[in-house]
Amino acid sequence: METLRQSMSWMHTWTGLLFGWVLYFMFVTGSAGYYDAELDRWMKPEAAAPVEVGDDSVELLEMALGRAAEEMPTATQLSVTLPYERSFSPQVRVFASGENENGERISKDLELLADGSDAPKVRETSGGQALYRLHWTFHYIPRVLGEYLAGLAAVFMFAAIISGIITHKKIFADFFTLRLGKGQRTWLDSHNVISVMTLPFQIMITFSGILLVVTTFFLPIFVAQYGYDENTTETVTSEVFGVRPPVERIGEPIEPLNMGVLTAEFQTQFPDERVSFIQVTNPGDITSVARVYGNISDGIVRVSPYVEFEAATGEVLSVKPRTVTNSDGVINVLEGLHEGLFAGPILRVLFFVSGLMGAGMIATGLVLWTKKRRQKLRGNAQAERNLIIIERLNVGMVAGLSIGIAGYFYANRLLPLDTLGRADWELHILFLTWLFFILHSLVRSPRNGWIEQLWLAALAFALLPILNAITTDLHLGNTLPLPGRDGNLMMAGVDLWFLIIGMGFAGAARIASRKQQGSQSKNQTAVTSPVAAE
Amino acid sequence: MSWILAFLFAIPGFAGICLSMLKHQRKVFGRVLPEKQSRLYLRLGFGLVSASILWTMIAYGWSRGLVVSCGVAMLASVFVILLLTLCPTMTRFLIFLPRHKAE
Repeated sequence: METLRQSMSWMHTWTGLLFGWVLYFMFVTGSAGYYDAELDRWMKPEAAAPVEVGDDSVELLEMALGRAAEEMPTATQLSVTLPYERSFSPQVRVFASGENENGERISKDLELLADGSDAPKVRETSGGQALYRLHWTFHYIPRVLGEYLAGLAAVFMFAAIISGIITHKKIFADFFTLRLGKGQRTWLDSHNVISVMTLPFQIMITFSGILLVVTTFFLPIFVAQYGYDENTTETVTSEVFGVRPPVERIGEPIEPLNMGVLTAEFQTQFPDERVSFIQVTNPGDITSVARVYGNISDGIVRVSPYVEFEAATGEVLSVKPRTVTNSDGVINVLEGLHEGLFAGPILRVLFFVSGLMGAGMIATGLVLWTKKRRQKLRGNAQAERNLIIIERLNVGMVAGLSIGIAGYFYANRLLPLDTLGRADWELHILFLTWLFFILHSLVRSPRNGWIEQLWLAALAFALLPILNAITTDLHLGNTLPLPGRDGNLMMAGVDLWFLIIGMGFAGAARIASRKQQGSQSKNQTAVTSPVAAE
Repeated sequence: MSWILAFLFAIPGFAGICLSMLKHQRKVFGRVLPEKQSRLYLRLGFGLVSASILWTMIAYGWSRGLVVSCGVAMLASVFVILLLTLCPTMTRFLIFLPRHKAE
């Protein structure tokens, strides 16, 4: 009879393997998401300098609301986002939506400078946001299907983590053991060390990942409860998430919003929060409601605290603090941890590195599986042939993806600015490059495949700062903060990360090359030695 | 910068835990340490790691502190693992204990 440990070992192997490639993709693109705002700025080098929000937040808000009213007087929804350290837009962002005379939905998205003028146009790009969204949308499949796939992969990952912990007899003793140059033993040690070292992160990221897509999994329950018609979403968001349903305009005008009063009330309610976002429904009408939100990134609980006002009288309608009081709050903390919006620069580095280590854990697990399998299948020609295909695909899936991601950044700098569907083409290039290297891995031996693709990934990332220097002024020569110069740490940080990642791949490629040279010289000795000849 | 102090606690903490394990003792000292000394290393190691976690919680609050302490533990363990792998004999210098006579 199998012991618990043996059955868990089986579960660990197969749950990890079944979704291994999907999980690797999710971990790599998800890790890139920790620098989504930075990558967004890197990919829009012509963007104007960020608007600094200081004591003038009230003036900025009134200016932005005024502009929105001018641009779309019939808007039913207006929102203004003030830029903070890592906002998606470095400028004041205004969004207005409503209906035209024919009853069709229309919207307007503006980016404004501090003086109220339009921010200069930037290149069309998918940016860091699209790269980050890949880890649960997978780009080419319907969004709901992507969420199902991501959720299922996360469930399998969670099962693999728990079974991995049970399987591991001496988890703490082996934690610090890394034996280099010992073949399969080295792969096992690397897998264990990476897994245990980042275990709290891996448990947190997987469990919170499941929670993030849990509503998608529960769709049938919502449908069973609320029926399925055009109002379902509205009813569910209103009843379950407390979103106020839209109210028809009456047509009775009111005075413009006094942002000074509203923000002062917000600061009285939440002295430690910063006003970050304003949302107004039915602006200028007696039915108008305004919400003043705090910055979602200012706390570990992933909630924007808000105060809701009746726009006509300034009366407070409701207040939502950033607290953990119920199960909803627990989910908000876990989601906050998953996204790491609250993290400062050092914690963000740790989130990013932990994410990459998760990818490393999966990659070493995949390689380890093929190595173990090879020993078991010795003598079974058909099974060995199948295994070789998996070994080769591992190369393309792991190293090829990195080259594809580098290709995404090259596309951002090299595609002509007037290319039709430029933003989409950046993503197409990522996937086409990846596909090319998957095909490349199929025609090369796994060893050569690893060496060639790892070197290429190293070169691709290391050359990105140089490409940046050739194509823009925001290169390391100008962006590195030096004595007497502030520089641009956000842009410099991205270039430095590219160099570090390039160096990491170069190190991995060197190790793979040395291993090949070692095994070649061993083979030569075996062939030329008289003992071997006999 | 409070995390640096936590990091400085965690490094000898992990080193202590490692040096309480037989296989690491062989690698670092070339011999197995007396049981009494192993136990001392273990207690000291866990004590320092706990102090590191406590300090981050005091400095950053319990919720953020817990996150920071995971990161700090990860960084410290990378340091100890690399030292144990590339230069094992140096690990003894991370944490000093008086020598015990073999039992």
